[in-house]
Order: sequence, then C-alpha cells, then structure tokens
Amino acid sequence: MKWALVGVIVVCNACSDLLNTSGMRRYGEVHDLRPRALARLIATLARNPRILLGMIGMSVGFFALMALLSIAKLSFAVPATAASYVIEALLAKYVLHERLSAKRWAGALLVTSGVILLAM
Amino acid sequence: MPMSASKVTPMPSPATRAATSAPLLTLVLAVIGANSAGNFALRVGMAQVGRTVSLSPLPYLSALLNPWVLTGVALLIGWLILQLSLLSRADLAYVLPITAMANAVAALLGVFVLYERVTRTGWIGIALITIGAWLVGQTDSRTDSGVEGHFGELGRRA
Repeated sequence: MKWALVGVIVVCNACSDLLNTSGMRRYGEVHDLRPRALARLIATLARNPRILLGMIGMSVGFFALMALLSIAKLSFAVPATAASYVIEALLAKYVLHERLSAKRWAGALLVTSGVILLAM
Repeated sequence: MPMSASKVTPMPSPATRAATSAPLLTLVLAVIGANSAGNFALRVGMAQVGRTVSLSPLPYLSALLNPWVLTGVALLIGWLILQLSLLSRADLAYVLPITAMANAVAALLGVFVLYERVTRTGWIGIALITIGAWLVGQTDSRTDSGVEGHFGELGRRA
C-alpha cells in the first residue's frame, strides 16, 4: 500500500509538471510580475486545459501524499518520492526536448541525494 | 468581446519587456522564498491545529481559521503562480533541481527560527542540495528553443 501511494505520487508529480511546463510554453514567456499582470495571467490560465489538468494532477498527488503520511513517516515518504527528480529529468529530455548537459545531470543527482539525506 | 480590452499579450515587444521584465534570478528566488516560507508557515500552523490526516476536506477547512495556516496557503498559491511563470521561461530540468533549494531553506528556517536540530546527515543533505542547485544554475536556463541563457538577459541569443 505504501509503495502504491509512492507510485501514485511520482506519476502525478511527473504528469502535472509536464502538463504545466508544456501549457506555459504554449502560453509564452511571463516577464511582467506586477500584481495586475499576474491577475490577468491567472484569469487566462484558468481557461488553459493543460494547466487545469496539471492542477488536477497536483491535487491528486497532494492527497496521495497526505494519505501516505498517515501510514508512513516523512523520512520514508520524502526519500521514496525523490525518484521524481530523476524521472522528470528524463521526461524533460525525451518529451519536452530539453538538453541535459553533464553538469545539469550532476546537479540533479546531487540535489536528489541531498533531499534524501535531509529527510532521513 | 471588446477588442484587446482584456486580451493578454504573451510576448510584449522588446522595449516593453525591458521596462517590466523581472530578471530570471529574481523569479527563481521568489519561487524558493514563497515555497519555503509557505511550507514553514503551514508547519507552524498545523502544529498548533494538531495532526490532521484525513481524506475528508472538512478538517482542512477548519484548519484555515488558523492565521499561520492561512498565511501558508496564501504563500503557496503565490508560489504556484510564480512557479508557472518560471516554467514559462526555463527548462523543467532546470527549475526542479534549483527550486529544490526550498527544502534546504525550510530546514534552515527550522534551525534558526524554531531552534530545531538538524543531524549531521541532514547538514550533508543541505550542502549537497546547495551544490547541486548551484551547478544546475550554471547551465543554460532554456535549451528547448534557446531563447534565454543563464539567469536571463546575459545569454540572449539571436
């Protein structure tokens, strides 16, 4: 059961991040961060199907994490779901066509191990 | 719909953008700040409310009456908007490791504000996250179409 929830969380994180990223790519670059511009951004994104699906993914992932935390400790939940960083880096490469240099891989792996150690 | 009254222009002209554009580093720091502060406020608030793990939304709604929880939720809503703005300008494989700095910042907030202890393993974790985020920060922030170099305007290519 614990690992099933870990699976749900990792899949939801990956799907929502991919959907959000591709939704924002289609929207275009956001440069103006003044409150009025951000309010217009929210109004527009609320009609963006990819972002909406991304939000659903994030919500399911959040409640799966809450469920996991009710049966397991944070020191299990965080390291077990840290695989997200590596899986999403691969998805970024193959689905979003981002270039992953050796430096970026090294950084991502260091961050993943750091997150695991910090939660232990 | 009236013409252009509520229309959002995704790509402003370079001149408009220069005047209103937030540097990428500012956006990265805002994402990390909103996430760590939001989670920190939620943690303080939920400690006051008591442990709530439930599939029903009701306990979460009543927790919203706590000012710390409310502040945390507001900060995390802000984080979401900033995170989406950051994803519009930088690679996912760049954003994720860098914004993972929020884990380290949240732990440090616990140490300095709540006087929590971090184990030696935890300090090694904080160091690894920091070095990893710094390494990723040195790579091009956007490689799918090559629009922006690292931290924004420095590496803009034609």
